[in-house]
Amino acid sequence: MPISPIMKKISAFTVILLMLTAAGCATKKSVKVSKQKIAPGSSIVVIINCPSNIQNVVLAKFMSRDFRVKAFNASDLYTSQDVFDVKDMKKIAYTSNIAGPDSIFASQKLAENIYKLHIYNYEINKAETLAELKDKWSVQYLVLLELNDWENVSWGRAINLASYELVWIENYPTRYKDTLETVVDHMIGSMSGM
Amino acid sequence: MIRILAQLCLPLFLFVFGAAGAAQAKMVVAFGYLNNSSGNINYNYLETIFPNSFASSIQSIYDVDTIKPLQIEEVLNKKNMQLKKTYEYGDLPGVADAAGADIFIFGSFTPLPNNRIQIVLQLYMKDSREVFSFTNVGKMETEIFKLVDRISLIVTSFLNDTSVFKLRGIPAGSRIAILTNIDGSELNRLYAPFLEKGCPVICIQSNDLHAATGSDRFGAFWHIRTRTNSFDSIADWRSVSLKRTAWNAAADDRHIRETRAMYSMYEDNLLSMKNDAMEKLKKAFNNRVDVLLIVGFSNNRKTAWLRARNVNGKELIWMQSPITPDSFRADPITAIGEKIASSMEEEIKNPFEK
Repeated sequence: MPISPIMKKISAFTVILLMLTAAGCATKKSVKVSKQKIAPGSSIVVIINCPSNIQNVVLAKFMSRDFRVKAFNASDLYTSQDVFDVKDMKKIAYTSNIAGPDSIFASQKLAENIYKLHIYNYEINKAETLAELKDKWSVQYLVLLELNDWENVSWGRAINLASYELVWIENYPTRYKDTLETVVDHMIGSMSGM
Repeated sequence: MIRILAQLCLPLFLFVFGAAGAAQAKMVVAFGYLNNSSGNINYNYLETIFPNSFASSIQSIYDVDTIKPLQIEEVLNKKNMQLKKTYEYGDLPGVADAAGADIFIFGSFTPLPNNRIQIVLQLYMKDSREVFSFTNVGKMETEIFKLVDRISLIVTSFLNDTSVFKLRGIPAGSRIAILTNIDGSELNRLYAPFLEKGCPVICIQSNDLHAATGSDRFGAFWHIRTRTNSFDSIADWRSVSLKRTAWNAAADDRHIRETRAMYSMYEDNLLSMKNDAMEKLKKAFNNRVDVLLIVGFSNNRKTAWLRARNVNGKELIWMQSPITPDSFRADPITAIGEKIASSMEEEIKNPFEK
């Protein structure tokens, strides 16, 4: 029995829709790799992106599970945009009495060189801060958390400051029935293996 | 009737114009001299022999038209030009145009102690105005053909669709740091394949909630300059005109001085500044970084490009683009991460070895 053109279009549309849905789901799948369990009693610093009252809830959760939480937060560090803005440098390169496309290209290249050095230096500065956390504050692990609502993905990451290695990562698709506390509980359980 | 004629003529039409298109699309690779930088005139004969050998070797395995140095010399002479042994980057567009080449290759060689020889090759690509240069060392007499084959292999791999340059595989257990333009949960999806493979991932960028490299400006890392191997764009600094007239004000002069100082610092001294930065990076992570992987994702995350730098040797060791997932259903970031992680140790297969 021949398939009508409308049916063909519907089939094609359905296939495309399924492909897009599959690709969309793949990006929201849970991801977890743990190379090392972070045992309660470990000295940690937690960096999270939420208001202070919510940060307190998160830190309290870690403390209630016997982690030694050091007083430190991302707000203690300058963000790259605050301090290392290279837009101004780029402007200097562009307004330097130059003419013609080759000149602009040369100036763009100069701005790119400055940008690359800036990124390297930014990473160096952060690594030096981590060394301070380890040496002066005796911090063993840096834990990063981003907590998101239902239909989005909450994620966490832990770094062993003795080796500077990533030891735990997790992407957790937040469920409808989840609350802030259940997500944090999940993350702590996943990280510590308890 | 017209339909029948059209059906009969279509294959002929496709054959004729397809063949014409294919012939047109064939890449022209021109070889200049390989300058003898030793100063010993006994080696001068190699200045032509090397490029001729590379041209023959490359043409034997890759579908390109090659032009050898003496042929370019003839073409250039007709245009009152000469084929020089060395070129400034700014001169390359002119010589490639005059030679009718899509790719112009030139370089130098230096005999080393213990009967070894160092060859530096530079590939100028006309369309993108980019130069890829690399260094290779081999034995002078016994392995000279192996050396030619090895260098030809590097050239052909680079000219392929995936533009691969791989100096060597990255040994298992190497500690890698990844610099990329994604962050958050996406970054975790990139890390997962490396961690699952047991590869130690050092915390560059992962120590932050948001990447400082998240903007389009990350494309700056597409070009990479190292002591031995580089992939760079041509910027002809001689074309930069700075305003200087009889009516120049003091501020204009200061501006010119500042601009010159910037060019000198961030272009002429870039390599030493970057090497210093690599040294500081190594120290900041307590000598725990072996390889820095720079991975640039497209906006839709479906393709990526890669640059790998050996942090200890401060050299470019791997370059590839584009990297795409094998399956459209897979998460592209994880799939690209898997591809990179699984091919880290691999060497490029030598088609000359049967």
